[in-house]
Amino acid sequence: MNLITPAFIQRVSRLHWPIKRRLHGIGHGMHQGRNRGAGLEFSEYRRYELGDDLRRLDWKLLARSDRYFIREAERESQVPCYLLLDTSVSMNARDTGGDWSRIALASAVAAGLAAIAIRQGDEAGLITLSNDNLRVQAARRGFHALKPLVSTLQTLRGAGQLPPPEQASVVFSVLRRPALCVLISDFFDDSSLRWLRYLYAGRQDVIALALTTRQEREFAFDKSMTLLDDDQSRLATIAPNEQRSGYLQAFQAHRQQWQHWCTSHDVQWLDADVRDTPEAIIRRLLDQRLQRPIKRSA
Amino acid sequence: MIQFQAPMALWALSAVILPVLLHWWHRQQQQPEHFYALRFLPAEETPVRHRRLHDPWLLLLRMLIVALLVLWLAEPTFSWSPTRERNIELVHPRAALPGKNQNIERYWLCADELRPIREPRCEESALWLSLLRQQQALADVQQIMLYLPEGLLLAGNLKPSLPYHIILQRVAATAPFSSAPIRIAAPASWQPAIDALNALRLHASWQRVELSTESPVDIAVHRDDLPAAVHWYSQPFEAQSDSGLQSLQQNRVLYLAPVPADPNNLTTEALAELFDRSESWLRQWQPAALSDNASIQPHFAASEASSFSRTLPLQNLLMVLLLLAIVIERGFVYGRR
Repeated sequence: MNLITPAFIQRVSRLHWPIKRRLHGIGHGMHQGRNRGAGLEFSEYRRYELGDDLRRLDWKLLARSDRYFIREAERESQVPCYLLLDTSVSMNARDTGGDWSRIALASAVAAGLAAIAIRQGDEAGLITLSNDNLRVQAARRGFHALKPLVSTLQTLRGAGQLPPPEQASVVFSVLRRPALCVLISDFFDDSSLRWLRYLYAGRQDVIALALTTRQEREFAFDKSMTLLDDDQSRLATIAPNEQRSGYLQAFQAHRQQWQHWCTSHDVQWLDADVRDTPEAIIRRLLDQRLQRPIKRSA
Repeated sequence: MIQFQAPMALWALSAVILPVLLHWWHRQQQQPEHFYALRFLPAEETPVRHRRLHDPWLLLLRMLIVALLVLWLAEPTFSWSPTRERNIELVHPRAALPGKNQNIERYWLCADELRPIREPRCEESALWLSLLRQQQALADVQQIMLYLPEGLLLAGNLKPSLPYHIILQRVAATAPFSSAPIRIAAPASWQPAIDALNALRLHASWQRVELSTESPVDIAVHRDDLPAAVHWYSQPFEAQSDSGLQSLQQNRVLYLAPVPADPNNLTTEALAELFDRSESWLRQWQPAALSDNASIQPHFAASEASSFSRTLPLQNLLMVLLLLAIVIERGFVYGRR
């Protein structure tokens, strides 16, 4: 089932995607930039200090109060948005009775986010993370940039494993600029946390979107069956009732560890079900984003 | 050699494909489901790996069961012929004991048994018939040294058709044979009879028996050899046709009678009369011996030697194997659960 339809793109791209962490960007975008100085939007006054450009002195205020104030403006900037997609084999998972797989949903979410970013004038780029298929499509601006992204996203298949970030230096060559990075994965693999760490260390604004199925969250098997994990190359016949508690314990401990890291490092973490629609996920993502406090990075 | 009593049942062997289909279908049903969060499954529960190993064995076992069942239905028998490697010596009861060869077993050739040589002599019996009767006892014999008394006449064509190699050896007789035993008569004007007689004459010369050269009709045969040597016609036969003719052409013998008054001038009527007379004569001579053995075919094809082989039905063995295989298969299946 193809989730990336024109109607979906059109619906989603009307949404507004705020940047919640001030980033260095190149001027005149929609996001509040970290750069201050001359600009359209007034921000604040500050005391004149030696060496300030006299052009930015507020002469009217000087006339009124006989004090030297510098008029500070916030410059709106453009921020590149990079969509990092885990395309390892585990992304092929699908819920029982589900219409689409995890990778299809992840692709659709990525396409929607790219459409939003491009519509609001930002750049959008795509990075597929798999040791079989490690591809970087550099961020570009304008509506013509959306089409190659979507056509790539429509053909993605899960294969191979998530490479550790140090084996993917090509990714960081395009991530030199601070960017908004959305990492979409199941976050089962240890490499996924290391990716978050690397992105965080690169001063990126990071969003972690974790897509899981109901079976994975609840171990919702009712009878003994054989399970195959291509990612681990492991085949196991399970006895669900005996093993459920042990599984859930390990799974939740793992999740808590990841989420704790994210909250303590100001990384937005969103859990979503594979059976959710991409639009719902995007709306939840943006909603969650608006509720987060703006944090100024150093 | 394994033979099948119901070989058509072997077509059912194609049913061995059934377990293959069953396993294939079962495997289709049991495709493992993809689940990528197995890493959170506690590792002490070892993956069931032996199960994959069992499956081919179980498949083979089930195919074996089907094959055994089909074979059982086909009713196999196992038969074998004993190998012929023994050499023995047989001594006619009327023959003087020849020089002893220590290594070779030696028996009296009696009517009903092969009596060891150290036991007393038995009654004389029909020579070839005795040998025929002893086929089972002689089944593993390759060569027979047959000691016959001088003066014993052999008739018939038996020697080449017995399944063992026979060497005739003449020794002195313990009691001389009478000079005028039974005679065989044939009409000299009737060519098939002449041919048969000539064959008999050849036979006699092979046995180093003197025959008068000018007589086409007389040949002496010891009465003991008569049942095997003579084809007996119960009815007067047509000279130019029918089975009697064929029988003559096979060099069996003739018919039997006291010597007629004028052997060179036998008419059909005289022949018929001769028949009657010979029959009545034979009846008073030894009717039991003839009627007993009349049905015995002295000719003995080499292929018929196999009828002396032994046969063992294999069905019981197959049934045991079948049950065993079923028990093992059930054990596999229940043990796996």
